[in-house]
Amino acid sequence: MNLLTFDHVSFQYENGLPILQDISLSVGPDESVGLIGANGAGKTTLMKMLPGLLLPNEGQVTVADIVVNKKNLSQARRKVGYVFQDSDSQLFMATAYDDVAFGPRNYGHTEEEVAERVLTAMEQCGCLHLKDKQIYKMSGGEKKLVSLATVMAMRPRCLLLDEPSVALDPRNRRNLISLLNSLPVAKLIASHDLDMIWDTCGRPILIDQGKIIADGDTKTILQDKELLEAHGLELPLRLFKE
Amino acid sequence: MHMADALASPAVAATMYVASGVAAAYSIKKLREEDNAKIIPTMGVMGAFVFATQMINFSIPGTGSSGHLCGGMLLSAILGPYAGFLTMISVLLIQCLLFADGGLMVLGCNIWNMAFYGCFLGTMLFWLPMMKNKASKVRILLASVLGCIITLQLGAFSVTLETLISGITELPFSFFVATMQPIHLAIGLVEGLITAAVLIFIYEARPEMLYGLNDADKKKSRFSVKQTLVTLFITTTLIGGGLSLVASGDPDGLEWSMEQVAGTSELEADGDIYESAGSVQETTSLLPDYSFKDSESPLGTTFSGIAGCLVVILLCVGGSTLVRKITRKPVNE
Amino acid sequence: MNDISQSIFELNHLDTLAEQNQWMNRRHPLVKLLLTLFYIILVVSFHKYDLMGLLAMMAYPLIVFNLSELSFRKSIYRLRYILPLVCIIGLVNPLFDKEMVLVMGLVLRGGIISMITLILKGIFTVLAVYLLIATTTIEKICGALRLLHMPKIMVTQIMLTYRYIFLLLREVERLTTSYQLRAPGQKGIHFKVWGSMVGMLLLRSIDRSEGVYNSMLLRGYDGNFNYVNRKMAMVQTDWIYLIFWLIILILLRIFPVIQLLSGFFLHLFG
Repeated sequence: MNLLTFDHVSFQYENGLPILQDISLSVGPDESVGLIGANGAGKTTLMKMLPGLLLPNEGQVTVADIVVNKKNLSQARRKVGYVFQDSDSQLFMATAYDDVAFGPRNYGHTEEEVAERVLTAMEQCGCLHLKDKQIYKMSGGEKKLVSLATVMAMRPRCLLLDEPSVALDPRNRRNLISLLNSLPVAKLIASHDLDMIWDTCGRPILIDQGKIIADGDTKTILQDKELLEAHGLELPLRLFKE
Repeated sequence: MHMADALASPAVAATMYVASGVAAAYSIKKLREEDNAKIIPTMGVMGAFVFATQMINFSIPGTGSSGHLCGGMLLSAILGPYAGFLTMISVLLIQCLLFADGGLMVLGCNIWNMAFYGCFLGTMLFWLPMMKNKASKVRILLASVLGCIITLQLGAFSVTLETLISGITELPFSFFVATMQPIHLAIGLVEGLITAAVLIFIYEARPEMLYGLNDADKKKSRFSVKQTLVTLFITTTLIGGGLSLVASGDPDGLEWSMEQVAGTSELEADGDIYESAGSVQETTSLLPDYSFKDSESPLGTTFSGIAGCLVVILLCVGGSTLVRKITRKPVNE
Repeated sequence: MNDISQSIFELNHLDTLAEQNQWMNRRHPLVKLLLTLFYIILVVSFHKYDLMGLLAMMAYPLIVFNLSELSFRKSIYRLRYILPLVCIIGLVNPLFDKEMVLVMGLVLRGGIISMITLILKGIFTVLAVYLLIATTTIEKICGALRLLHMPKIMVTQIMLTYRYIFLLLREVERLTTSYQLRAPGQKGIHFKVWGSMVGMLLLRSIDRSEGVYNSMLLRGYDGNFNYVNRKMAMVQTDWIYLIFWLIILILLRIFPVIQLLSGFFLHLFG
C-alpha cells in the first residue's frame, strides 16, 4: 500500500507554462524520500499538490488512499503535515504554544487533549523549552523546530518539508537532521541540500523542468556526478573531499 | 494628526468611541457576509505593513522636508473599505499603546478622524466610482490625491471640532480652522502622491490585487453612491447631534465626569458642591479656616502649597516602596 | 541609529519589560486596563483652572512607577509624539484667556494656568498608558479585550498585526538602510522610487499573507479562530488593588487634597 501517489499528474498556472508534466510516483508509509532539483524545477509545486493547495490539471493525487480534490480536501489535509520553507509564514500566533495548539484546536479537541498533543509534539521536536516564548523573538533554528512541532501536533501520516535546512547554521542543521531521522513518520523532503538528503533519505527523486529524471537509491543517484550536473545540481560536499 | 487624551473631554471621547464602534460593528458584519476566510491573515499582515511603512521618510521634491504615509486610503484600495477600516483600527490601537502616538481614551476620535474618513469616504466616494468603469494611471492618481486631500481635510476639521467642543483650547474657531486646514492640505497632497505612486506600481505589476477594479458589475450592486451618501448623511447627523448635545450641555466635560463619580441622581442635588470642587476659587471658600483670608502673605500660601505637593510625593513614593518591599518577599523565596 | 531601528529597539524593550515577572506584571490585565482608562478620564475631567486638584493625580503614576520598578527616564521619551501638539494648543491659551485666577497664593493669568493643566494632563495620560503597556503584554491586553467582548475578528487582527510588525519593521529597516547606503546625503526616499519601494514591500506582504493563509488552511482553519484565553482568574490581590485605586482616585478627584494639606501647613506655621 502506498501512502502518497501521483498518477500521471500535470499542472500549469492559468495561461502559463507547464510546471509539472506527467508525474507518476509513489511513496510508501515508512519511506523517507528526497525531492531534489535546481531552483524552479517544480519541487514546491509538486509538494503543494499533496495537501491540495494546488489541484492537478490532469491526473490524480492520492494521500492515504484519499483522492485529493475539492471534496476531500479537509480529510486529505489531516494526513499530511506541510512544513513551509519560510517559518515566518508558518508561525503566525503570538507564542509557540498557541501556534502548535492552533491545528488541534481547529480539529475540535478538548483543551486537555490539545495540551497533551502540544506538549508531546514539542517534546518530540526538542522545543519544549520554547513553549511560552514569543515567535517574533525566536532565532531561525528555534522557529524551524516549532514549525515542525505545529505539524507534528496534528499527528500526520507523512511530513512534507520544503527546504528545511535553508538558513540554518551548521549546528541547527545537524540537529534538524537527527531530529528528522528520529520522527516515526513518512517524509518527503524537497531540497537542493544534497548532503542533508544523503543523511535523511533512502531514496531521492530528481526532477527538472517539471519531469522526473531519476528515481532510485541514494548512493546511486547522489554519486552520479554527470546526472546531477546535467540538471543544475552538484555532488554532495562530502563526496568532494574524497 | 493623532490626538492626545488631554485634547478631548470624556464626553466627546465617549461619543466618538460610540461612532467608531458602530462603524466597526458594521464593517465586521459586512466582512462576515463576504465570508472570505483569507481576509483575516491578509488584514493582519497588511496592518503590520502599514505600521512599518509609516516609518519611512519620503523626501518631498524641492522642499528638503519629508512626508509620511498614513495608509487608510492605500489599505482600502487593496482590502476594500471594511477590512481596511478594521485593519487601521488595530494599527491605531497598537500605535497608541506602544508608541503613545494618540491617546487611549481618544482612540475613538482617532479612529474616526483617520481611519473612517480615509477608508470609507476615500473608497466609496473616490476610489470605487473612479475605478468602476475604467482604471488608468491618471485615474488612480486623481482618486488617490483627491481622496487623501478630502479625507485629511475632514479629519483635521474633526480634530478641530472635537478639541473645541471639549473646551480644551481658548483658540477661536476661525483661527484654529485657518491653521489646521492648510497644513493638512499640504500633508494630504503629499500623502496622496505617495499613495498614488504605490497604487500605480501595483496596477502595473499585479492589477488584480486592487480592490473593485475588475469586477465592476459585482461591486455595482454592493455599493451605490446614493446608498453611501444616505448612510453618510445619517451617520453625520447622528454624530453631529451627539456632539452638539455634549457641546451645549457641558462645554468642559466636567459635569459628565462628575456624574460618573457621584452617580446621576445626586448630581442635581449636590451639583454646586461638586462644581466647586473643580473650581479653585470656590473651593477655597469651602475651607474657610485655611482660606486666603490672610492674603497679605501670599508667599506663605505658595510655600505651603509646595509643601502639600511634597507631602503627596513623599507619601506615594514611601508607601509604594513599602508595599514593594512587602510584596517582594514571597517572590524571592 | 535611524528612526526605524529606534522603533524596533523600543518595541523590544517594552516587550521585555512587560514580560518580566514583577508584582505589577502579575496583576490582572483587565484590572490594569480599566484602571488606566478610569484614571485618564478623571485626569482629563479636571477643570482647566484646577491645577491644584490635578496635581494630586500625580499619586497614581508615582506609586505605580515605584511599584513596577520602571525607569521614569525612559518613559519620558514617549512624550515626544503627543506633547508638541498639546503644547502648541496650550501655549496660545495665555494669549486669549486674560482672566486672572488665584492659585497657590499667586494671582496668575487664567491662560497660563490652563496651559499648565493641559500639559500636565498630557503628561499624566501618556504616563498612565506607559504604565499599562510596560507591565502588560499585548497578548494579555488582547485577553482583557476578549473579556470585554471585543469581537474575535478584531482581537485576531491585533494579534496578527503585532506578530508581523517586528518582521516588517526589520524589512523596512533593511530597505531604507540599503537605500541610504547607495544615496548618501539624501534625507528621505526620492520620489522616483516611492512607488516601487513601497510597492515591492506591499507585494511581498501580500505574498506573505498568502503563505500565512496556507499555513492556517493546512491546520484546519475555516474562517474561525479558536481562541482559548489563558486562565486569567482575578485573585484576591487583584480585587484589593482595583478597589484600592478606585477609592483613592475618586477621593483625589473629589477632595482638593493638596489644598487641604497646604491649608494645614499654613495653619500650622501661620
